[in-house]
Amino acid sequence: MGKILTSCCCLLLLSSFVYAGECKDDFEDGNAAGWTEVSGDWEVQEGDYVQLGGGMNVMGVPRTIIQSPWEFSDGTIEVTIAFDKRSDGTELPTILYRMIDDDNGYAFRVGSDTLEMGRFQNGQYSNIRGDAFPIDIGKPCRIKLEIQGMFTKAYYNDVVKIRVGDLEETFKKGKVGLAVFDANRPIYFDDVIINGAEVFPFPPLSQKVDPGGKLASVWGEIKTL
Amino acid sequence: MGKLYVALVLCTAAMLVLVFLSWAGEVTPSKDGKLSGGEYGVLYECAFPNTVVLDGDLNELPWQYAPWHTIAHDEGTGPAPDAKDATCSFAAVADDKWLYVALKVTDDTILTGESFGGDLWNDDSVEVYIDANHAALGAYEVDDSQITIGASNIGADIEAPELGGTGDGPNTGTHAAVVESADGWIVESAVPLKNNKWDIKPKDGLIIGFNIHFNDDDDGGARDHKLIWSLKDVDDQSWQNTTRFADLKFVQLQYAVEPGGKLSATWGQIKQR
Repeated sequence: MGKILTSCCCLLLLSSFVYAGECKDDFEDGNAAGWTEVSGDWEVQEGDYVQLGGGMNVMGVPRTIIQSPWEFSDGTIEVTIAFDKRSDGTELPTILYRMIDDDNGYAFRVGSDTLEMGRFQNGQYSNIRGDAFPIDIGKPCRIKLEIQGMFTKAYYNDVVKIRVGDLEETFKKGKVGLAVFDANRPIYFDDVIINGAEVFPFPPLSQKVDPGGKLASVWGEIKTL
Repeated sequence: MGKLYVALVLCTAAMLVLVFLSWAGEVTPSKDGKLSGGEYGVLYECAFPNTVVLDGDLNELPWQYAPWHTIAHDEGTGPAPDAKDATCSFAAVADDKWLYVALKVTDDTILTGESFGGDLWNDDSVEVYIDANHAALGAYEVDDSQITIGASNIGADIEAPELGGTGDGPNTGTHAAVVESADGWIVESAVPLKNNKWDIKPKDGLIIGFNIHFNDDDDGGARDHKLIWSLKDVDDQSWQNTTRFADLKFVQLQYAVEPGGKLSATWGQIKQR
């Protein structure tokens, strides 16, 4: 009886930790504290985190990326994405997850007529699966990803649209990021919500210095050295 | 202490059930309890010898006794928002000439007549996949086929249905009776065990590669939802890659033998009169 009770307690405790952490950022505070700009030009404008262009990875693939400080395995990622009014829909705003470094990890891309999941390996993108799905680039859209094990399930404006797996489960854990691949027009990201076991909220700007004394901007500068 | 113990056990059990339900389809074992039915998305246990008559009526004894696997609305690369929109259950039996596959499709909008031949998958349709030598290779061999059966066959010629699919699927000699049901449509199909592509001789324990898909079109144009049985087909590649197939195992078990000594063959013959 004692062993069963202990097992039940352990299971319940473990289950309570599965989605223990949450990070929300609506950028209404006028800053992007917590995010690390890896490449490209980014700016907080009127409550959106806006990708303004630039950026190229080691393989010459144009893209701009920002990343979370913590790592993510299973859980949910939600982002509101808006195209610029001058957009032709080819910018490919992207949610990155389980990024083990800047050039390796999973990517979920939103095109004007496709939703697709793929992976970056050594900076090269390969599509795992995409489905034709025309979207209205004139309106902001809400993308939600549910990630569990090898599967990613994607919702577009709260309607489930695609469920894709990576049989090899190439990347098990890594950082979350936002990216744009063909940055010819600004892309606006807003209301980011991430739930996961090791996720934690970004501290307010005034508390940005952590016990190790590392500022996000310092970390970014070190990284580019 | 006792109440706390009961509450903890119940909470743990509920949690485990929820976890299981959220990531697994459903298997209904054989009615006589002799077959577990296999494992969802991994293995189907196909009893033989059992013969059915293709007419779209699934009340025959083999279909009542066979294990049924149900692909939930959110299993596959194109999940549907709810079970009413798209769900698919299937069962299979065989005799020495045919592999019979029955599919009960829940579909709130039957849409056909827009796509034909190789594009049949854009309309409402089901797909039966065969890897006869169970090689599970990255590309199709001669003995591999994707057999697409459209809802367009409702009321059509059972022995000459409109078929699509890769691996020469339309030329496998497959027959199909397709009928409407209260909440969708039904396919009762028969894939020949011997044709110019393969020669499958059922024996107890023989395994072939196998998969089932359901393409759901709700509003014309391209397919809207794609349900997939094989848990290995996480990227909808079965049309060209047999490593994504699950397994079908032949199990020697005649469902239709009853105390009265009625054999399925006899029963089938009576039904034809």
